Amino acid sequence: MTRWTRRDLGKLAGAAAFAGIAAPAIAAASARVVVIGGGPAGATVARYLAQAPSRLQVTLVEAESRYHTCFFGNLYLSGLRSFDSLGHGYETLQGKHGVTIVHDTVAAIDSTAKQVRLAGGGSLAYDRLVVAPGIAFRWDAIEGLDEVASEMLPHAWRGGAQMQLLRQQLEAMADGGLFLMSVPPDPLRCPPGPYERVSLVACYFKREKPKSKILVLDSKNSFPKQELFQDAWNRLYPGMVEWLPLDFHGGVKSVDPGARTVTIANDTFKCAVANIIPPQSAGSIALATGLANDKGWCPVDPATLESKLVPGVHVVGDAIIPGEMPKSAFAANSQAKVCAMAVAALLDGRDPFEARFFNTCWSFLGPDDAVKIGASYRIVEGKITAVEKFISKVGETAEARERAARQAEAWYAAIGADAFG
Amino acid sequence: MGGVVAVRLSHIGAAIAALMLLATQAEADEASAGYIAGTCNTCHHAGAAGTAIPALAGRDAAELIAALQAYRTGARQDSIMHAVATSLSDAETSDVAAYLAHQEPAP
Repeated sequence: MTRWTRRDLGKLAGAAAFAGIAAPAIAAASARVVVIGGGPAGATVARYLAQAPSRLQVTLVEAESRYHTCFFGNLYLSGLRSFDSLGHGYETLQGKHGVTIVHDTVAAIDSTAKQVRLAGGGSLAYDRLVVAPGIAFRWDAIEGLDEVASEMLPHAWRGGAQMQLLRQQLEAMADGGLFLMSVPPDPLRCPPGPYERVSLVACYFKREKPKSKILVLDSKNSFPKQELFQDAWNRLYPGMVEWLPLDFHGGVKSVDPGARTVTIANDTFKCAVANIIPPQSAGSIALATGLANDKGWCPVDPATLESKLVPGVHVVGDAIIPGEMPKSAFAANSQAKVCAMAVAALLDGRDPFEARFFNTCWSFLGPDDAVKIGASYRIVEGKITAVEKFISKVGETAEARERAARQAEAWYAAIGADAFG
Repeated sequence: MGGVVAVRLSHIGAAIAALMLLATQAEADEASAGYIAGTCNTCHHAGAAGTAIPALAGRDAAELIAALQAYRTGARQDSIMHAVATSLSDAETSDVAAYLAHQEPAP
């Protein structure tokens, strides 16, 4: 069935070189790609560009020396996973894959001169630029909520210090307290993530603080995998979780970080822990460099992930307007591979292959109980569109749920190795 | 005289053109297979795949093709792999399997 082998290709490549058609590869040998942002999207782009046959010079600009994932953070909050297990470094990308890592932040992008100016003073010239901005929070949406207040009312919707803050507050709270979560409107990073967090915080309470309660003030009236989550809350954590849709409570009006209170139209809640997840936009670099539209998200050509606003600049991950794809690490990783393929092709003067995308979002309901949702995607009429969808079902066997949990853990190890080397 | 040389040159030219086409097509197939196999890596990455998700690098190509076909028809049940398998044409299935079979297995 094999139609070619590497050895055959070697012979053919030799013949081709003799015939003088290796020239395009040589011409592209010095092409430079700069990638800004070292989360799963940016790291994957850098890695896949670095292993492209046309030998690109790839530079990854990232402020931090270690990236802590937001995904799987709920397992850490529940005490089921260590903080360190969520951390990923850049040593392998540099040492094994030849990506130049620059630990700095970006001061400006000059898309005409094709240069990135660094806060540390240097600048990087590029032939194509890829930006993986991640998300930023809209601090103007809820009265009393700003970045300082989020130290008291942690969102933990980014990995690292915020996740640790929320874990510390959960550990410090007395049994019988109220854990309140405010869920932002769409679009948000990791759409099923808030409800997985509810499940895993409930799991922690059931084990350590069984008199505690969970109240969810949602900015939406429905949510992904709703039937699966609500079934799990009734089955595994009866009487502990109350979820209120927007139409019921009318939205969070204000917060008081000092008193740790949350106010809706006709009530104020005194919380032991308040997990206020703010409304979101594309990351600040996208807002500052003209990559985001007036709604705060980045429009891209899905075939190449090239910005529709700034030519020569590609955008991947949570910051883009992704058609029917959710904002997930899996989706970011998938977009990154399409982007790397397209950037290498464009620099070689070739047509990119047809873009195809895939996503799976696993959610843990308990330590050995996980569900999944996902789809394969193609571009239909200029938009990333789901082709074949799947979702777990209520009433699956315990074995099927445990298998999904183990599968999710294996996926975490795989995507970490795939993105960070 | 000139006519004969021209004919010979055109033969050589045709041979080179055929070679170029082959090389380009084979390279394009490999590059395409490598790109599609990138999707496999998100879960099956050779450096990390454990018991819950098997590693694919270095596996027998015929075995991989049979597995993908079984996931596609539903003879093997897995919702994720069904979505993967139905997204591939027969030729892509063979190319991806051949590509994975030639990858270095995880240590």
